[in-house]
Amino acid sequence: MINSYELSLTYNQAENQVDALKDVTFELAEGESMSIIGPSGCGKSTLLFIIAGLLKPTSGRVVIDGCEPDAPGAETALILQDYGLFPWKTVYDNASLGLKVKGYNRKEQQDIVSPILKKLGLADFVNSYPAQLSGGQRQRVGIARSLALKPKILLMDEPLSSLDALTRETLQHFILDIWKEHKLTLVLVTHSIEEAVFLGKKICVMSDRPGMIQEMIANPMMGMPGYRQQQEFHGMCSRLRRLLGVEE
Amino acid sequence: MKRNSLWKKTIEIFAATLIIMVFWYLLAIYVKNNILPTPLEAMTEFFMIFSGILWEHFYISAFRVVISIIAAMLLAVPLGLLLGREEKLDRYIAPVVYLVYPIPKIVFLPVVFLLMGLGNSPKIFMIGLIVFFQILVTTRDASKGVPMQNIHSMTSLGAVKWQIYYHVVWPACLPKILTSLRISLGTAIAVLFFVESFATTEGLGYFIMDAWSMAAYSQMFAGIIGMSFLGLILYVVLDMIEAKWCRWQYL
Repeated sequence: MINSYELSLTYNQAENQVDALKDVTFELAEGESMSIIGPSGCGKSTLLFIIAGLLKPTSGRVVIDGCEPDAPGAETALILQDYGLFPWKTVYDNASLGLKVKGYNRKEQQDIVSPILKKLGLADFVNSYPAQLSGGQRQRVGIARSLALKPKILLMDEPLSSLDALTRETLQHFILDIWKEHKLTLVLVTHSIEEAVFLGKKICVMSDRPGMIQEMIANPMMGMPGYRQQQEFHGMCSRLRRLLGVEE
Repeated sequence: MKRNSLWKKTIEIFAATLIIMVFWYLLAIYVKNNILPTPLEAMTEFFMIFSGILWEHFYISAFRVVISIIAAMLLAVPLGLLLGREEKLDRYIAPVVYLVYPIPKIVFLPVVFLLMGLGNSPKIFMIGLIVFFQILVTTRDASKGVPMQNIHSMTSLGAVKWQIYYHVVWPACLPKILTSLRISLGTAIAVLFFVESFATTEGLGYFIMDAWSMAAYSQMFAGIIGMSFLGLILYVVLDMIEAKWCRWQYL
């Protein structure tokens, strides 16, 4: 369960102050998913980083299962757009890094990581370096690393935005499967309207700077088989487009 | 490094040597002075004396260069990595580095000789001191350039500071550190020649100067070849280290 109470964050840039977030309040139940969408620079990523415990809000607070998120990696896993993987580590070493950091020994690391890599279709690439993989494979390694930590909450910052459209859809289904199977709480920041509708049981539409919640939309059909082909899916996308001010 | 590329590299080095020899030969014919012997004379001399008198000098020079580079590296690399990441520390030390770096430290040679005597230590200290700053400045800049995203992604896995240095900062900077070592190698051998050229009776620098004073030019060139050979060996060693430790750079 994630609770956010009137979160605000102000950056001090040189002389002027920039309000990145203002009075962001929401609640996300355990096992639920929320996508966050909004114009560039509206503080989406900032919000995610606060939930991850990487940034401290200027005022307000986030509570995850009764605790403040000041110890990153405890129960939350964060997946970033590009730089999550280290080019100098092999697929296996990248995927097991979180466990290594937490002090698991080699055997324990292998018992956890190998099955995950296998399931994500990366078994043949354990000794490859990220540069030898396709974009989609790379992102799957990032996901493998996060899953190895058995998180309760998965935070994703535009995880698929550098991928081509086909790979992107495949991985969206893939994330949906993981979400269902591991019963994770998922928070996804995205630029893509379809992605927000496909992966968010709740869709948090944010307004331009200062980042405020413009509207929180319930998306009850999310996760149902074949949702992408249904009328409701397209209806929801059109609604988001209007909210975000996109001309149709 | 793959067997093939090692073989290819060896052939390349031989071909390059051959080309240099041809130019050397042409120059020697043109100059027609025994101060510039032909490559054949010099090489013959080199192979004749290498296992004899030249070896001792070669050995002591190699020892001095290697020890000074390793010592400088052991001090400069950790400090550089730290200065690049810890802003507070850098704020105090950066002005000092900025001020000291451009001073041609070789001018302190007399002082160093006076304070440390005439043995190996002043020579090693002098080379190490000069090389130290080259490695320090490169390492610090490399460490400063590690993307914040990398650090975030490590922090989000629950890493503490030393783990960030070990898993991210160090491997990210390693290729640039090796580059700085390559540049330092050239500097180190130049300084080596200088510090060995007086007040000593050991080392390739001494050997070259001594042969010069006796007008034994082919011997002098054997010394010069020895010094080039020393540089080449160390250069190849650095290449091998890079191929092993930075495999991800060559995919």
